[in-house]
Amino acid sequence: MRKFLYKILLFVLLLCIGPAYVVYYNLKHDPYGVVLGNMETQFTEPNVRFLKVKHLINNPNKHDSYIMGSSRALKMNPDSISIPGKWYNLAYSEGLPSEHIIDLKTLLANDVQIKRLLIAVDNITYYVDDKVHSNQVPRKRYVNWHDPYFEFVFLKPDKKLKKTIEAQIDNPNKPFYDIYGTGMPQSSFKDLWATNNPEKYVANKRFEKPTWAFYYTPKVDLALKEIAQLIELCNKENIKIEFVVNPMHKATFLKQDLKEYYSFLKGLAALAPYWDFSGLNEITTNNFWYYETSHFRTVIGDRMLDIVLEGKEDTFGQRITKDNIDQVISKKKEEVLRYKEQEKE
Amino acid sequence: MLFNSVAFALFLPTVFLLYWFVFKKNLKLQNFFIVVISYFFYGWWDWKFLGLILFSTVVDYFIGRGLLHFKELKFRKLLLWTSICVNIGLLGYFKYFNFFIDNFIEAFSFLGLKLHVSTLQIILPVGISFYTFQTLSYTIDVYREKLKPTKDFIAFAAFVSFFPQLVAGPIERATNLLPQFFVKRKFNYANAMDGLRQILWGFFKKVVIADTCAEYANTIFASTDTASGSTLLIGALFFTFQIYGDFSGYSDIAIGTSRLFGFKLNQNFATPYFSRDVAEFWRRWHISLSTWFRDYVYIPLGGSRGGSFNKIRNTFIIFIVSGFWHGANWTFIVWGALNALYIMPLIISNKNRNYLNVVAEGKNLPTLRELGAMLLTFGLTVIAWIFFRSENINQAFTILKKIFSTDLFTAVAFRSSNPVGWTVLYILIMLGIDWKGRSDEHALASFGMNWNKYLRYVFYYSIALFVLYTWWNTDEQQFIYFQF
Repeated sequence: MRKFLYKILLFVLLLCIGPAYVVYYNLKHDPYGVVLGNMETQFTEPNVRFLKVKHLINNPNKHDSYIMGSSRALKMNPDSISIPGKWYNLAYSEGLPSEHIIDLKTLLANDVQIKRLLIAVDNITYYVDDKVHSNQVPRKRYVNWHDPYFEFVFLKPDKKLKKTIEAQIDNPNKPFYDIYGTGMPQSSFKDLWATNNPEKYVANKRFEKPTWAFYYTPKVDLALKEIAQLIELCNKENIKIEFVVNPMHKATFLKQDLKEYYSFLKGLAALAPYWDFSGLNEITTNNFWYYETSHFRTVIGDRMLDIVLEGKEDTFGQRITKDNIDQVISKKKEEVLRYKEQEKE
Repeated sequence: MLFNSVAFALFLPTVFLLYWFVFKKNLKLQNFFIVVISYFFYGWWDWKFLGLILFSTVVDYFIGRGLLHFKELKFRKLLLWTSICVNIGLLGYFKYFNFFIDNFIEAFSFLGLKLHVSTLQIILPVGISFYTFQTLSYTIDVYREKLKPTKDFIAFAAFVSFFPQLVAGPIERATNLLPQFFVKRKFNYANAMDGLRQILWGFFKKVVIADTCAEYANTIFASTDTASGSTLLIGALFFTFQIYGDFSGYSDIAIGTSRLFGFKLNQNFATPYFSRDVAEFWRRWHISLSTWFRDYVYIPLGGSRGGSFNKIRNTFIIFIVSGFWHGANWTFIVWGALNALYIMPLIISNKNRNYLNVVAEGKNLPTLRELGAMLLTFGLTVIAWIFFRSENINQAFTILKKIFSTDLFTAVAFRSSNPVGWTVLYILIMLGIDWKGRSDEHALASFGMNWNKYLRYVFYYSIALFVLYTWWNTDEQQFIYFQF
């Protein structure tokens, strides 16, 4: 027995050399911000979903109203909202309604104040399956205070991530994630550049390529079912909920199957009235209002907040209900046809 | 608790040390310790279902005692059928209730009648198909007087719940495993080391082969409507290796772990993909289930006696029941029936026992004829796995239609996060090592034994490191057979 234990011990110790280095690396660099949670030394995209929920659990009364959705909703600045409410941007990359339900339940279970929600939806909502996210470390959910540490401490150092971290250390324009404030990433560099060089900015080739991942497959029925569950949860918990459909950049908008898009709009209207900023309009067809073909600029996000929350009059966006949805869809179809014909010319 | 989890990595050394250092002196105490850790192991998944195992254990223990007490045939039969009804009833309720309800509703709607019967939200208890069959084997063997019923309830409870094989087999016969609980176990260095080698190989098959193949198979099967025939064939091949790596990997870990505790379980896989015909395949794949059906269903039905009709009927029955055992879905039933069709020509022509030895015994390479036979058998198996993996019959037929069309000659296209080339290399390494060890109980039993000691340990260390590395890159994946 002694010989056996000695051999096993030696074998296990030798086997631990690799993991020990990994633990050291992750404690030093904390690529997803989960282990140390220090945003001042965070150079890559942290696991925002985890960190935000954790932050709110630690500060249950700091906020009472939340913006949720994908990273596009991250362009809506809570500081620009002047109506009553302590707003926080709880959005994260590819955030989905089914995940919002899980996070809301976690927050409610931890006595976090929730009075109002603004849910931003778009093609990601009805094209991305939440199962895809279960394997993606930047999108892991918050379960409890100890659950993720084991996983994140032993995370294999990623070569590309390592390079990104090294490159960002001396980058003066590196983004800063204001997790503990507004919940938004802070980077004004691109906005400044766009304002100073508008012609060059809009002509950039990146605006020709739609933002589309290989795992995007339509799931409209499932998305609507999840949204219905979200509404049900909010009604039960006495939370006021409002939906907006994001203005998708024309390239990304046209990449999707428009039948799915129309069916989503119609289904959503049957569940709740909402604000629609999507389609081919003055904003979505102008590259100037976008960072790339996925994210609209913060100035657009703020404009949307003014319309939706503060009731400002604007030509951008329209209120959709189950009574006007058919009319709106017909109009949208015409706009698409007209746009495609213009493009041909 | 999953074998490929951190929890198990902490559980195993802890219980090993307690077993050999604290509970070694008293056999009853050691058996009791096995019951406690086995229930803990199972309860880690969901403690609420521990009651089911206990219920099954108590019922079969007392039925066993009753069979000793009653000599009259009608009472003995009554006891036997009570055990069968309780165990199959549990299995039927948890596993097949909704399937039958759904199919009744569909059958009536086909006749133009609308039935309003609701299905239930039933959670399938992990491993129920395995431990119910194991306890049933005890009652049947006691009824047949092949085994004396035990008085020792703790030993019997340990036999039913023995943690290494509780949730996914091998399904041990009471005649093999139960007597081992009555003998004082001694630590055997050579056995323990061999057990560790088997565990290591099991982890390689599960983590490196099954979990990486799973990613491709899942992606491809999920895109059946859009994927080309060639891509779907690749998906079916990946699933073929996934299910082998997954299930035989589990069996290797279970058998190896048992050896660490001084127990010897039966071999469950004997390099089945090197079979030369389907009959040989079924002697080498999930051996504990095949022999269970042979001994407790096929032979009581008359086996191969009584003419061709009986032979064909009995073969179809056991293959269809075996398919149904795997899951409450028509896909499994068709999978079973298809295998029965494959084996039928061999049964009718009495050629089903042509290959009782290992292929190319004593040689390094097979002959061309043997290679051809192996490839043909493998091909038939791949087709059958398509039914096994598909969500429904329609999906399986869509895949087959695409594979057996000109679509097969279009380019393979699917996206994945892992490079496919490496996975193919791992599969080839597995097949190579399996080939070398095809005559042994497991692939690493004698592989590298004639090498220099240090070289051999470098080899083991490399496998362990590789398993660890791959495990890091993938989430903990459940073993497929947990769901059966």
